[in-house]
Amino acid sequence: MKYIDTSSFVKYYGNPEFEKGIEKITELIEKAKQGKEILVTSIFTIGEVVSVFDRWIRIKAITEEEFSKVLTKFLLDIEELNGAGGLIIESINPLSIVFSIEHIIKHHLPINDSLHLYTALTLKLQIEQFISSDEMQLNAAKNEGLTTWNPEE
Amino acid sequence: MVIMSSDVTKEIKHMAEQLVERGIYKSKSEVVRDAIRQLAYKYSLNAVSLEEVRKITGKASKKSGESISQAVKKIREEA
Repeated sequence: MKYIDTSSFVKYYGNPEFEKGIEKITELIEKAKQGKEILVTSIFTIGEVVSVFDRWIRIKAITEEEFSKVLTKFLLDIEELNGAGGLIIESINPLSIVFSIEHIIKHHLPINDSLHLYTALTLKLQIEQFISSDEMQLNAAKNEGLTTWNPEE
Repeated sequence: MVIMSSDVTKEIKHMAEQLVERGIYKSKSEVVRDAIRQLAYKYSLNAVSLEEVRKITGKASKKSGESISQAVKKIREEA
């Protein structure tokens, strides 16, 4: 089982002209869709990915119609991954926020990064790899004893 | 906007009115529009291929000057 952070998951929707590591993430997600790989992430990933598309509407980089198309594709993919048993979505509770504070202070991570790290650490024994494209978060994960992978490398 | 009229049962009309009375929707028309949007999603009417999504995100990256993972970083910094 591999934990995937939003910074890497979102690459699946990125354009190869602008994004590094797309092939590796595409291969991983396609395997998960076939149930050949089990990924786990926080429910927060759903909100963060939608926020990216929303940001692009806000700065007029995409139209409402394009937003609707990418959002539908993303939600259908989540359903497909979940249905195939290739994606486990971990919920957030008030304690997740409280315990994430430790990682904010210890590793100087923003709350979102800390929440992902905390969620992965609750499954530490089952997680074989922590996948992220954020160097600070990867270093923190390494320090916490997780094996890390940056698809950009 | 175009006008689309349809026959509904009293129960359906009552449910639409309740959704408006409770402030969930502003009008019965909005109830119908949202119901159709949800059906479109359910039956994947608006579904596009990954290739098409990547064309859209490529255009967005060109306009915004940020890749999709850089956009995640910016959102996290804004939080």
